[in-house]
Amino acid sequence: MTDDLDPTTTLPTALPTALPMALHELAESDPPRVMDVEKVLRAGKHSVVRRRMAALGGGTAVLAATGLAVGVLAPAGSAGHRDVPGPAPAASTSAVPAPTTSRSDAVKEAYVLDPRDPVMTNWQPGYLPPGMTAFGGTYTPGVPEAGAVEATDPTGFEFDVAQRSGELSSITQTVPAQVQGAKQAFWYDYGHGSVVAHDSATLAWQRSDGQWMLMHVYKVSKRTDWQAQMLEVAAQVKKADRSLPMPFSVTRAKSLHFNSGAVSMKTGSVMSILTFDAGPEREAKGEFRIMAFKIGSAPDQAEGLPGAENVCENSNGLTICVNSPVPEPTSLAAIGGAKALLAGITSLGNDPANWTTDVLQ
Amino acid sequence: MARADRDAEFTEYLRARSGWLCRVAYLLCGDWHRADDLAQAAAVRLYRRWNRVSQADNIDGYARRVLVNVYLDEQRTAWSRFTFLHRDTIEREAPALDADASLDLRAALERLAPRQRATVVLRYYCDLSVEQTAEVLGCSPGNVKSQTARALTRLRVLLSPASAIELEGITR
Repeated sequence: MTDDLDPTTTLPTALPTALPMALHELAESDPPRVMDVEKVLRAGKHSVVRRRMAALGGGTAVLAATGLAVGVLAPAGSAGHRDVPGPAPAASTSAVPAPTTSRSDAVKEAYVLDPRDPVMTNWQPGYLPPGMTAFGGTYTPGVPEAGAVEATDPTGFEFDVAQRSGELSSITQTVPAQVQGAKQAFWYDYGHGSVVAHDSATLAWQRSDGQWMLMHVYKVSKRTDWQAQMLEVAAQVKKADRSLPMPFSVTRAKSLHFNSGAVSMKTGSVMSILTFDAGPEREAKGEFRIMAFKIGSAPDQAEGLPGAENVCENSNGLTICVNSPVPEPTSLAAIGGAKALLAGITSLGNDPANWTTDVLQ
Repeated sequence: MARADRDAEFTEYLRARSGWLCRVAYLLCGDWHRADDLAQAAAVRLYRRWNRVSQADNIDGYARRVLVNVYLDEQRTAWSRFTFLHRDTIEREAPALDADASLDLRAALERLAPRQRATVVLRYYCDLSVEQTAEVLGCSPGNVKSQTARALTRLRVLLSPASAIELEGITR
């Protein structure tokens, strides 16, 4: 180990050698953290119970929840609007198999949970600030805190909303906030009462039903009224599962182990992804992905996973890629490999009006 | 294992190692608030598997792997942090680092892709070998080597703009 690197002041002439010390200094730059172990135990026990219940209920639990919505675009440039995605979900609690929709119907029918669409969001904004569009989100089955619904505006200002498991008492540096109807709310304090760091901010609030929520806000400098608007958005976030239409459908994928998915529409360009695990365990090695984005919108963005290889094709205005490790995971090889998977993908283009929730065919 | 014993054992482990877990989480994400969240989420996952974990030879190693997975899960499931797809866009749009920030390791780490960052933390903070890092990340040793090389190259540039062209010799 050489002493030629002070991480904050000195030119690193032997980085690999000096990095360990610099990282240790950085990690110890704050007082020791204290984790609320009792809270972890409670959350862990709840998690175990939920998993057992889910196992007992099988896949119907998700489908039985409510009527659900497909994604709906809010017109950019409009005045602030409420109940953005349409009427409230139906209150059905019966375990009736969700209807499937044809491609053309997918974006017309509101509140449909399509079992052939692996990507859904569990929350939606009931209010959007003027000019914002709520579209897209992220989803990982079994990891509700990893799912998010998001909204953007043409300036690049954006936010996403996700739930948090357990409580957020570990957050000790906060700035109080007022979210109507919430039990409590605060902004993260990034030092000296500043709620903004790197042009981003985070709002936490506990709903009246006890559920904690987190909102990440990005490029706050683009909107002077962002803080008040985000408090209003938070006050009206609703619990409502809905399928997210995707810009492609795919055959041959039903036997694959879906891991997570996301779709996003920013400044007129779609970016979309489905990831699959090599095996039934999420930790299984060999994750591979389908990626789709507007042709030319991101020519360097299809790099995918480190060390993995892309097989891509342009179709109907989109670049579609299958990104997989080498050698290909067994589950991918079993359906003919990346090229065969790519051949089974139908591009639906960049216009959300043509997208579908009938993704896995 | 009886639940009471299991909980007591888990509690003992977490009380002893939660600080370490938070520090690793901080190096992965660069924000103490998020680090607390990540560490807590990892601890919950650890609890779920404690019967199996407690039999492991290296519980810290298991915990570290869970933590890295939690971190990478978060990265790959939140579009706004989906840097593998947005990497170039983000780098183009990010404001230029000022002179002070350019010399700050934390700021430099923030500009690494998530898996590169995890690779750096695992290899240079956790002191794992290439093979051990590959095991945690679920990739090949060759992959770890290339990620390490890219990360070090980028860190070198970010930490010392003046020497950006002197990149040779640091990518081993």
